[in-house]
Amino acid sequence: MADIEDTHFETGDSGASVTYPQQCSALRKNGFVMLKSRPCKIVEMSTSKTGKHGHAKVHLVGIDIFTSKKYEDICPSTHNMDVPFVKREDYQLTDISDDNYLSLMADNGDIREDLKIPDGELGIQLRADFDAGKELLCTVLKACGEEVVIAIKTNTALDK
Amino acid sequence: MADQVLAELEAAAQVILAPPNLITGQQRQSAETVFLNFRKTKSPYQLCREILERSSVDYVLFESAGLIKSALIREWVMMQDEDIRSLRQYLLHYIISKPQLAPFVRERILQVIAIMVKRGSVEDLGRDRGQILNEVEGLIMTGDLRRQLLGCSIISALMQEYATTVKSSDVGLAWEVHFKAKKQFEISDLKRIFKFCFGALGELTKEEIQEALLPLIKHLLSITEGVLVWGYVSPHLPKRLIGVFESAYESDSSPALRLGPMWRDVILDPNVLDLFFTLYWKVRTNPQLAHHARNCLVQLATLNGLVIESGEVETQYLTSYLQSFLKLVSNIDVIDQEAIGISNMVRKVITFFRATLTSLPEDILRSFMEQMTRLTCLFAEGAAQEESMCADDCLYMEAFEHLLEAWIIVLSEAQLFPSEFCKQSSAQIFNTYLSCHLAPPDGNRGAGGKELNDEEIDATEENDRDKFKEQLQTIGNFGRQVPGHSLPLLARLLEDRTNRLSGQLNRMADQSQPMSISSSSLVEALYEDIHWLVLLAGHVLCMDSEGEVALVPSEIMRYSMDQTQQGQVNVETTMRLLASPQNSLSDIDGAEQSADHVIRLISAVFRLCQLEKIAISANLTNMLSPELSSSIVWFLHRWSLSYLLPIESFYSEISTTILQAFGADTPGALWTVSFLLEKIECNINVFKGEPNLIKETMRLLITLVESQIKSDCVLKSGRLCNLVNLATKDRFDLPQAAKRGLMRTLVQIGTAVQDPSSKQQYWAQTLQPLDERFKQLTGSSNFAQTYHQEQIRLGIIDVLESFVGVTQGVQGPVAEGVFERITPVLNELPNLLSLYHNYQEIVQLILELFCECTRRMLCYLPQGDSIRIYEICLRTIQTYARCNTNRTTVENTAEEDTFQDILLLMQLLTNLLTKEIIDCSHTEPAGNPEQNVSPVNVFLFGLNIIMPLMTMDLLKFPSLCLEYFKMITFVCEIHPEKVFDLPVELLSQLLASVELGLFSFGHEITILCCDIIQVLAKHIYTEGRKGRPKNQLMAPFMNLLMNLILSRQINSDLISSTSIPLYYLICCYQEQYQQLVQSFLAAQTDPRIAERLTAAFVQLTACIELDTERPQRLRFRDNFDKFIVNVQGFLMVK
Repeated sequence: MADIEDTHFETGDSGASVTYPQQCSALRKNGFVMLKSRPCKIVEMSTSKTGKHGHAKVHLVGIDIFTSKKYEDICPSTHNMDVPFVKREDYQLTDISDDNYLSLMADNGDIREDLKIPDGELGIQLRADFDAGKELLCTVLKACGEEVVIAIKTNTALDK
Repeated sequence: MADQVLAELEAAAQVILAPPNLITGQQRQSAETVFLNFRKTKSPYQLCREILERSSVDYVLFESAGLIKSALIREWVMMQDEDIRSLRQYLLHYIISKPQLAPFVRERILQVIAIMVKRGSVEDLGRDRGQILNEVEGLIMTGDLRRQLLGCSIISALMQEYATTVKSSDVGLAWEVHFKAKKQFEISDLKRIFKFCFGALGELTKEEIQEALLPLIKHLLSITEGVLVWGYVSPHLPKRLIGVFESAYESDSSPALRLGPMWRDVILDPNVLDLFFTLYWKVRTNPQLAHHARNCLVQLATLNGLVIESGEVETQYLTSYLQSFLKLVSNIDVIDQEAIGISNMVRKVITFFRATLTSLPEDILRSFMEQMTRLTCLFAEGAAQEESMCADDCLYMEAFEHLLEAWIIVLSEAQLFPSEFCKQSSAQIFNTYLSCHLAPPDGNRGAGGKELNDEEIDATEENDRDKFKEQLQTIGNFGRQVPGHSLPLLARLLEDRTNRLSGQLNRMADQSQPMSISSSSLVEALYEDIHWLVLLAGHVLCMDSEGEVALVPSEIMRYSMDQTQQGQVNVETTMRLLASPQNSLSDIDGAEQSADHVIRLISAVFRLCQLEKIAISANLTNMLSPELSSSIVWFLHRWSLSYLLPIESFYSEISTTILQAFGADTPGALWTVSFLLEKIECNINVFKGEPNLIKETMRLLITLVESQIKSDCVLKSGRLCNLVNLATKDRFDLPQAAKRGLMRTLVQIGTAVQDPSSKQQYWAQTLQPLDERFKQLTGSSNFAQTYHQEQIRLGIIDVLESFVGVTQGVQGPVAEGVFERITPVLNELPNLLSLYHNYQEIVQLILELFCECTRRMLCYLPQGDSIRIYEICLRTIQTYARCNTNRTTVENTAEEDTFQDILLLMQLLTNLLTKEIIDCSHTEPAGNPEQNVSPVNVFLFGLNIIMPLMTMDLLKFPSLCLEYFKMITFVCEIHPEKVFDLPVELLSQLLASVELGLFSFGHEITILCCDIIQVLAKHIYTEGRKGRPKNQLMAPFMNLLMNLILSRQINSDLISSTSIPLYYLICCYQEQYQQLVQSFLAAQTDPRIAERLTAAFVQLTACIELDTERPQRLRFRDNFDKFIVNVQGFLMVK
């Protein structure tokens, strides 16, 4: 009976699928959903119906997790919506290359060097903090094949 | 000089009144400055007279009148009587001699005159006012219409000025003085005004009313109305209550006409009622006049007080009122606008004369009841029509509801009336209401032209059972007056509609082609019919029971017993009917003739449930109506509260039929519980996308386990296993409400399991699966790598939701047991939070789980367990802080996210602190004091961690702001000493927030901040008395508060909340207070103002000891109120 058995979970890494279906009624605020083919964080959810004896429809308002653009959609509550696989992982910043690529170390010690310094103020602060010799943790957001540093945290004492 | 001022003002007025595109912002601003300065002119009377004489610009005239008003209020005490009188005389003649004056200028000048009369009357006890009234009456008698109207305007202005006291502090008088003036006016002049107007109206309306006199009649009527709605408040009521009366005066619902003996000769004069009813008859089609005339009649229906000296007088008055009323309503066709007024007359008569009604002559009482019934039905139909037209005005709906209110009183004293009166009326109104809600041909729903349509309806819109709650309750009451009529009627209609629906659904199942529009609207209409029938059945069979034990209504109980006694019931047939919802009634032999009507109606709803189940299994779910389903579940919920497993000792008499069907230890009860559980499971599985229906379903489920006896029945029902499966298995598709509600139910059932080994077994069956799932998810060796995976994360969310449900179901007796079982999981959560800190859903779920834990369980837990909770909570808070400090993010939902998190953290802290005052664990404190951890220390430790994350920006979220200040108030109230021991930085941040809170975030927060200041100052004072060094931390608040008050930055409604904190501060810091006063005085440039201010400050603390004792505090509060009125009267604010 459980719908979960019918659902194929793919890890985002396998490259096979970047989303999976989930019934609209099971979505929740602060969770993720695809709106207009963009991965979004759900910031508002409300229901309505057509006619007094009609069935519920879910009205979703989401913010694109990469561009911060606002999207809306409406869907019968029994239908499925696509949910993006979203990963938000912390890495330790070890170096910045001359061409602005970051050296990032994962928890297990693996190093990756395929991400650039983020644009805008975050990038400027990242550069400044790094130059000042601060230890930095970078949060990397990954969904639908896009990947970008969205937050930094100066690593004080006891963070893992 | 006046020339120059006048020229300047007129030029400025031109700028201000010019169209915005013709002048610059700067021009406008400087023009405004001209007037702002003008308003501050001192002793402006001569100047203003000149302006009034010479200017022809209305705006300038208006401003001049305003200036006179404010100067008068400020300077009254310093003015000579002679000057005042001549000014007033001047103004009076001014308006009399200038008939062309713009109305708004005239009104303003009238107000000034009225204020002068009122202020003067405080000193001369109304002598002067009497003379003015003589003059005014003279004006009205002149026969010159313009003068007559002016006379009326003066009376109106006077009445307006005297009418309210609590809100008229702007005239520079203390409330007591206002109130005294009002009473004095009431006694000496109000009756005179009434008599005068009554006389004049009588003269003017003796013959046909002349068109030209209508304005005068209208004015006189409105004055009379003013006298009749006047709040004749007893002087013995406290100020606050008087304020309530006076604000009611301003709104629609006027206070009753409560008069003293001095009014006997006027109001009991039979000509009064006669005149007003006749007058209404004549003007009822004139909307301008009819409204006032109707209000007079409504007020006359509320006559009470010492004016009525005996029962006979009362009966006599009521008799003549009703005779006139009946004459009126039986000879007119009610027009839309008068429905509310007429319903109010009936409602007020019933409310104010309920005891006298039965001593009326029988023919009058009978006619009155008949008319009341007729009007109720008429208004019900009108209301239905309005509904179906989606009319903006709900005139009939309101009128109908007023009459229902009247009926509630009648029904509650039904025994006083001849019994057939109430029964006939009840049946008649019940039938009318029913037919208003049924589709043709049985009813006339949609008579207004608009049937159900396909509008978009927001889920937050009220449903019918909330929207029409009061109506439905009263209609249910009517139904119970005539159960022999209403129960079989409802049952038959329901059975009929269920059969028809079944037929329609069958047709849909058969034909695989798409549904035609006509058949779909047919089904819609059926749904609407059934929906209303179910709502009515629920209200006839059950009463609302919020906050009390739900009982089967005595009328229903009696009726069920009567049927048995009269041999109409075959119990066996009745049970067969109940137990076979799959069959229709006609399939059961003898059911039509000999089934108990109560059970028949209940089983009609069960049949409906069965039909839904069949439709669902035939894949017709999307043809069903979630709205109807939710009404059905609502019925089942309401019904099971009282009928299912009734507790015999609550009843003085009990129907054996009901007992046999649903009593304890009967197969009927067990069958019913299983039936309901099956329905619940079905809804959860099928309607998971319908939030309202799921919510209603969960309420039903919780009701089924609310008591020991019901829980036992659920345990025996054989369906527990399904519930456990639904609740504990991975079900990512279930909505949150179902997830939590299911687990909550299971834990609540656990309370009913008594014997220890069964209990162990029960928890093993219900809680263990969750525990295992959690371990399975988090315990695997590579969890540190896999935790990011969607599947794992969904699993974690799912199991956390269930744990939230667990804590929500915890009640005292099982708290320790449940805690024991879930501690290992709770213990893991800080680590889990650290791991998932980038996933807000999980972070918030963890915080929410702790909030629930501390809210529902902590108070029952003994010391040892509590300490474990504190420890885990603090670790969680620390982890949260560690993950979120020094973090910069580009996400633009970040602030909103933080707001939600911090709100939860605040709630968590507040819950922890609550243990300090609510502790039901009955455990002795541990012998070793080191093991005693007090909640307040835990709280402060946590606060210390969170405060750095709190920014002033976050306080702009109203809910967070409120939660924050409530929390701080709470801790200051219970442990002020601990607050002062906080680390300096934290303490100053806290006090800075209080300072900001005083004037930045609205009323509620200001009051909380005043409370905080008060308790902290009080603490400092008491410590000082004990000889401890005085803490200077609160001293700046004295200055701040005083400044805010004097500069009117604190709203006048809130001033009273500031007096006691200020008093405590003054007690603490007496020397600083003196300095503060000196600096205020030194800042005054005008010596006369400085003098008055000095006097005011002296009076403020005169005869008051600064010892914080209650009598002194109260005295200070009274002085402070006077101080404020006084000072704000003369102190100009920049």
